[in-house]
Amino acid sequence: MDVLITGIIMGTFYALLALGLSLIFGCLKVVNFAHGEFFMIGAYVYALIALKVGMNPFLVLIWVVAFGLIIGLIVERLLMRPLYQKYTEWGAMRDEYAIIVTFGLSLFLINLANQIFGPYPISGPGLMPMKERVLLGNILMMSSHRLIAFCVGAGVLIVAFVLVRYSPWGKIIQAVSQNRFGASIAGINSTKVSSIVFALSSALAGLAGALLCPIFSAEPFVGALPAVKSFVIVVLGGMGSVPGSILGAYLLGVLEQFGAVYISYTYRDTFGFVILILFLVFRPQGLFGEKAREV
Amino acid sequence: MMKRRACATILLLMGGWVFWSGVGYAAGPIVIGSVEPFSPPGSIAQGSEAVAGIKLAVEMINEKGGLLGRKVEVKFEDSMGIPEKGRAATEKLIVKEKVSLIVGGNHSSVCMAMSEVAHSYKVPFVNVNCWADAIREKGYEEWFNTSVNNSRISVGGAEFVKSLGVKRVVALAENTDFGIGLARGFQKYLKTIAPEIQCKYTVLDREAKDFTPAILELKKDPPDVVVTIMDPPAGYIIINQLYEYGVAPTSKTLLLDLDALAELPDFWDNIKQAGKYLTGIALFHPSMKLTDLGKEVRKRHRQKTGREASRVVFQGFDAIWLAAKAVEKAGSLEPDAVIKAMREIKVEGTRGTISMNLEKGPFFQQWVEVPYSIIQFTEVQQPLAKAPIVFPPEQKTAELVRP
Repeated sequence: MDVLITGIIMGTFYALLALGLSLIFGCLKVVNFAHGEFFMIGAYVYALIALKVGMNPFLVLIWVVAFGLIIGLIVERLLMRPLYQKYTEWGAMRDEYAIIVTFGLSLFLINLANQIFGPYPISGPGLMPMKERVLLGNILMMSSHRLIAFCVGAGVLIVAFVLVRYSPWGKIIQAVSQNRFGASIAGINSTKVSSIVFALSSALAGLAGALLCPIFSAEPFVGALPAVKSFVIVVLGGMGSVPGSILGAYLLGVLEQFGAVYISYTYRDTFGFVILILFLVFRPQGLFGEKAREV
Repeated sequence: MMKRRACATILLLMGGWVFWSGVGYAAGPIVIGSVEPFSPPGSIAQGSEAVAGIKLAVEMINEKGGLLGRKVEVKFEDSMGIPEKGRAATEKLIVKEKVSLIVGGNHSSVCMAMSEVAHSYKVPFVNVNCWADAIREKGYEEWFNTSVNNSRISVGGAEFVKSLGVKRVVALAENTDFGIGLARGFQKYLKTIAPEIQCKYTVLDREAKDFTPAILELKKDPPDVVVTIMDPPAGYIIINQLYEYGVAPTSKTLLLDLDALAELPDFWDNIKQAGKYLTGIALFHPSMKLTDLGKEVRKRHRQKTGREASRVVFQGFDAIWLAAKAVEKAGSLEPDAVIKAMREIKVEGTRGTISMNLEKGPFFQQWVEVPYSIIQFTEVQQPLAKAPIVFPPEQKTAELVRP
């Protein structure tokens, strides 16, 4: 039971990260290799504001989200938009340009963090003091921070899911995801939608980084592994599928924990890849993806 | 005609430049190479501390007129804590920068790779902070160690654990030559001196962030002692998570860090509550006896940074200091002469008299008597100077306390 609980908790943080990646892919058809670095920026912003300004950690989360939105808007405007604005059809866009741009951005942000924040990892304060621990039903002891971070993460996840799925804005995002050209004909400003989606995904990644900062510590490379996992999740769930990426995140979180405890800790990070390979062989469209072909 | 004249002028200028730079080199500084991690996933913290010590040594050498009448300069290269990068950086220093000798090294896997390069080019290399016995066991005559080695730490840790009279110990070690080597050495030595104590170790990924599954396994049946052998940031993360899940330190389970993390300047920025009651090996404690040279280094480091010097600062200093004294003794930069001098010399370092053991094995060309103690933090944010020494008995300043 304790393994299941910790798996679900980790799955929530993975889902926050993967949801943004999935939205970007759905809307912009771009694999954002710098997504982990938005996670890293969120962790740094959280740690630095909380430690240097001494602000209440819950208020800092709002700043992290705001910062993430701004960074997302800037990156989309300066780096992503030139990639697609000339094309009315996604098929005409050169995917390799997006890969190079986001990969370069990832390296740039890692090295920038290294230069600005220095060599030492920084651990931010918990949402509750880290020394306070809770015992869940006599099964599992954990820091109250982890529990509250999980609740915040799960809450944000539900709100984001409902917004994307049922709100008018969400329906616009879905329309652009399905057919950008068609959405444009229907009067939807797809460029604006892309900006919002990029900003939203950057904010979600930043929030995940902030929530995990007291546990993982902020350092330049902190986003690398979570980002790799979110790529696995997005493929598991079905490229661009929001419910798929959430379910995929929980699946990976739980599977990793069970595999590590009952098979071997050494192979913990490979369990996700094994599942990924199985999916690619037997269900390449993922959990909620649709079979498609381009002509 | 004009073209020919222009070509001749350019050739003349180039020849002059080559001649001039050659003359400059001959009379110029002695260049020593250094490879340290300055980028992730390497331990940048330890790399920076080593550099601080190396720079202090160079400053003090140059204040006294340099080496063989020449100024000393250090060229630094980044290993990133990755073996192939360390290997390439060492080769670059030797081939391109033409360094006479090299000091440095953090992360044993990197030193394993760098030692091959130093050996093949026959360039003396003084190891600052790579602990793996396997590097010494190669028996390369170019490789010298002022850094402590795993065997020394294993002995210290095992003697301490034996003194506790416990029954079961679990070590959590990073997946590197250093981590696995130290865990094996610790287990082996503990079995020799206290066969009644059960000891096993688990290998964890140094780049991982979440160690919950490994910790949950311990949670089921907590051992008497959990030993951590992991470099930062993973070392910090696992200590926090052991505390978070209530595994260690507790009234039943003692937490022992064998990576000397307590001495690092960012320890309390990352550990917080989990550090209270933590015991750890310390290769430098402010109450430890220093030589006059060591006191001077400590004073200068404090003046420059406002911080107490860590053991890596002293290690960085000692490595280049030994190399410089060997060059002085040899009277040249010729590798054979420097290697011979380094094998024979006795040098006063920062924490004692450094000499090289020449017996093959894990202590080959190793400063054997590296001082150590086991300290315990009894308060959160407690400075290392105020943390009591709980082992060995001759240095002990307080009894061990439990939560």
